Amino acid sequence: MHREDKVKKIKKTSEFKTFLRRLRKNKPAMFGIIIFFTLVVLAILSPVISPYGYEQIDMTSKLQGPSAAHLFGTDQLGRDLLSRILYGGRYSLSLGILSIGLALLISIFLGSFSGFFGGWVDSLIMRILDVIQSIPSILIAIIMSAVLGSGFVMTIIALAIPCVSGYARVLRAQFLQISQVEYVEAATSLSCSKFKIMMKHILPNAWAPLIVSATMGVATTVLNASALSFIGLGIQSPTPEWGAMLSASRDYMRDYPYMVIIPGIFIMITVLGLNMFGDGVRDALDPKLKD
Amino acid sequence: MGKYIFKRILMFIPVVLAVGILIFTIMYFVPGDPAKVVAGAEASEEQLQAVREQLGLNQPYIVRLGNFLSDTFLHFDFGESYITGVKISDELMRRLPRTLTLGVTTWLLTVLLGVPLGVAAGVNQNKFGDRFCMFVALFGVSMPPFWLGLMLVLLFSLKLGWLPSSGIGGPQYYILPCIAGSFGGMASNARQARSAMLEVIRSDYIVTARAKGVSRRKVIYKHALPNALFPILSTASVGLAHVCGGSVVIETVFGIPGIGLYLLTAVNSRDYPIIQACVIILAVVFAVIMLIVDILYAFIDPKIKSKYIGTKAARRKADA
Repeated sequence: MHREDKVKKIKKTSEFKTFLRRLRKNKPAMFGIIIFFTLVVLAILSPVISPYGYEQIDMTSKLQGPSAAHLFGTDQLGRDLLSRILYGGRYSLSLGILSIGLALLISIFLGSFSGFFGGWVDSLIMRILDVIQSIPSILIAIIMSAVLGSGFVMTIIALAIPCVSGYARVLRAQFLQISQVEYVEAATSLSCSKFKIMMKHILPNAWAPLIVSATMGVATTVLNASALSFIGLGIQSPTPEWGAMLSASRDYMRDYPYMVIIPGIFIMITVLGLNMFGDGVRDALDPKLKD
Repeated sequence: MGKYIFKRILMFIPVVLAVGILIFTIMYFVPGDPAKVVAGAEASEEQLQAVREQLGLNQPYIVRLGNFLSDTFLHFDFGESYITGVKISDELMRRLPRTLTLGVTTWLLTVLLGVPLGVAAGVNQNKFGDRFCMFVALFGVSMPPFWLGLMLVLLFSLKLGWLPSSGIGGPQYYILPCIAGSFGGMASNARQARSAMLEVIRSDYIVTARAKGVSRRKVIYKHALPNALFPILSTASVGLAHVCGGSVVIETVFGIPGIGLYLLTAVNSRDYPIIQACVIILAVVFAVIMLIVDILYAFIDPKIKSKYIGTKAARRKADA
């Protein structure tokens, strides 16, 4: 048993290490993840580093363009845009990450049950997911947030639901395939419990195809979250979410264009970083695709 | 072939019905009382009761679902708006052409410009053109479409004054919305087309064809491209879903009174029948176009073709 563990450990690390080595050599991917982490750190540190409070109203200095005192300018209430962008990162970034996290949790549950047990449970789950998938994802997010109401947690749920069907489908296919493999048979013959087989033996081997789609999923969800707030659902003004900031400053676009340009650039940089990283992960997992 | 098309059309019916059931069920569990929306906030309990009676809100779930489905799919009747009392199906018919014009043009742009660009980039891998296209495409997939829309308005309407910024009218009103809506899809089609081409170009039969002296051009267009088309087509149909859903956002930015804007106004005023109607219409339009794409797929995919055409032996082989 002891030796087996050792062998397993060696094999596992070496596989993961080759993946990491390939990923580390990929300059755009490293650049992307550095951008993303910088934004995350800035968002976490926002109370410390932002020059003003994000709700601090100062009518004497409203609608000022970028200057030394206000790096990104101020909005119609004289709030400092840089501080709002930094705080807004907390909402925009965590919406993306938490929604995909929730979607993954739900799809692990659905996909593993579906793929492992098969039968009518499988058919039922898959048909329901088929229906959800036949509606464009942002539409589902829109109805869900119309039904659930606005707010942080509700928005996460609304954004997670449309992602579930894709992930659950991939996981189900993996579970179907892996449950036929010898080591699962061996585990069954040792009267290992079904739950343990699913979670300990199959799931760790079923992950790989999900990594790429989850990374790209965070990027898409950041975009969807900002779109949702932009049309007035999801997170709402005066909360400094980037999409909500954009929608609040639309009316001032003609004379104060920096108010719409800056939040948009931050959304774009975030998504850009994630996409570059996602491309790199895909190439590292499947080097055949690169060059 | 007819059999495949028939089968595919038959499969379309339960999907649409299920979408109807799903939407109705979601809206059924909305917290809050629709009768209050209709009668106003300070209506008395008797008035509310009367409204509930009139709209059939006090009937059990299954009866209401049955009524809803038969009204929607057999009579094309979505009821009336809670707020204005206008018949929803009339309003939808007025708005649908605008959304369709915008959506179809946008989608065609994503395919007709994105795919050739991607194929060209894949063929000329690592040359300047390829690098440039992929660099732009990376920005394209990362840009929020509504923000691009705002930037276009800022430049072309507010600064240069070339194009109208919002509303509807002549074709010039559709130019900016189409560009804003299609840029992301174009970029993702180009990226997909490029990687599909690269994967095919590396395969053995392409090397063989080149080795036996077939010209580079012929190998690319006759051997590689047809095989790269399937993954490209599936991305293009995913792009369609984005266009259908994205119509809400683009119509909001450019103030186009289509289905998307109708949906959004209804969401904000809690006008439930309109929400149901708009989502169902958008989902049905999406399903119909997917159906057409699937049928087109069958014409170019020899695997599906051989399943339905040809000898029994060939069919058996294709099944296996």
